[in-house]
Amino acid sequence: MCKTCGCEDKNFAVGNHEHHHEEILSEEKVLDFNDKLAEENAKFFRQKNILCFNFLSSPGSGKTTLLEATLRELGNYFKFGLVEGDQQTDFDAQRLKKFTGNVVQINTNKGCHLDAHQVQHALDNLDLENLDFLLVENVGNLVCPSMFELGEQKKIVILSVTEGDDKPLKYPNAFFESELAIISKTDLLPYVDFNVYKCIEFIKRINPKMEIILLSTKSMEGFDDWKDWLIEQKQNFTNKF
Amino acid sequence: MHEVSICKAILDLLAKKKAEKNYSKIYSVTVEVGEFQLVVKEALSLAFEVLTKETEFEKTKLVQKIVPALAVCKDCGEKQERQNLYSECKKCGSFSFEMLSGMELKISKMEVET
Ligand SMILES: Nc1nc2c(ncn2[C@@H]2O[C@H](COP(=O)(O)OP(=O)(O)OP(=O)(O)O)[C@@H](O)[C@H]2O)c(=O)[nH]1
Ligand SMILES: [Mg+2]
Ligand SMILES: [Zn+2]
Repeated sequence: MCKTCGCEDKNFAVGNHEHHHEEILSEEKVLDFNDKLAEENAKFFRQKNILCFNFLSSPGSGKTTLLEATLRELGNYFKFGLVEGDQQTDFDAQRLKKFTGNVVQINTNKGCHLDAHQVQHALDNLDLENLDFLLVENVGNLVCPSMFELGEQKKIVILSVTEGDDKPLKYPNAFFESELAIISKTDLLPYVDFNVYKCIEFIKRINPKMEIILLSTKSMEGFDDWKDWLIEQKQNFTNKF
Repeated sequence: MHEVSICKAILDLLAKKKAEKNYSKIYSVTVEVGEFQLVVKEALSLAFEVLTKETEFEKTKLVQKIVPALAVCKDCGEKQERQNLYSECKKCGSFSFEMLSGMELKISKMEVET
């Protein structure tokens, strides 16, 4: 075997063989394929005036419950489309179908995140005419989904108070990529050692510009802040065009 | 676990390049992974080993190069290497940075047989 290049040509001694062995330099992004599809999605959303948000969180932090409350409270004022990402089952889509039929469930099976291609296909099965918001619930996982752009305008990270106030520092990437952090299940604050100020300070270390909303979908405390945020996003977005 | 998706993306790019440029072999591929990128080196190596088995890239070597996270402080302008996404400016204590590197994930080099 040639020691220079590992080729199996036995007839050549080291250094004097006739290979056209070349070094090619490149700048190719590994996730370029996904990024390009995400850009297509983003362009489509801009054309259709659709605001798309990508929800990131660990399993059970309250993503679907927040979407249910959002549909219940704002469903009469705005038209929503929903994409539910889970490894298995259509439980979450079923929960949302009580409020609107405009829901697509994606099962990623072994995949730990949604990708732009899956979202593109989900769009085929949604009614996109005059849609105001497309809310995408990513697979419950605070790590992997933050790497894969879907074409969303913003990522929203949710952290529930039962998970602990140190989680932003332990899983910083999702907080680095997101523009809004929701601290959820605040009705449970009396029962857990969760220091809200510390948590916010941690989040701001990673992302000084992060907007932060505290809410509970059980007591509905703070929910108006979320409602106002959504409405403001819609107004700013519409004014841009 | 997303290392499998990342590995598939790398292999798709290799296959595309190989067909486009008519390389007869790809000896090695160098991937630059930013220090703050969510890629576990061992997991990506393992995924590469498993996914290339009995394929045209079975003998291709995967080289991973970790790129340090360089950033400029937005408040005082100091250029520095950051230890993590929540480390403060060494000079002024600010947390506002413009990241210059450390988030990349790209193929920077291939050794090929033309
Ligand atoms: N006390 C309290 N419980 C909540 C709140 N929001 C959600 N929960 C409960 O938390 C559990 C998980 O909520 P889900 O909305 O299913 O969480 P999820 O993030 O969609 O979970 P996955 O899709 O599996 O990742 C359910 O039992 C909810 O009833 C809240 O504000 N307060
Ligand atoms: Mg859910
Ligand atoms: Zn500084």
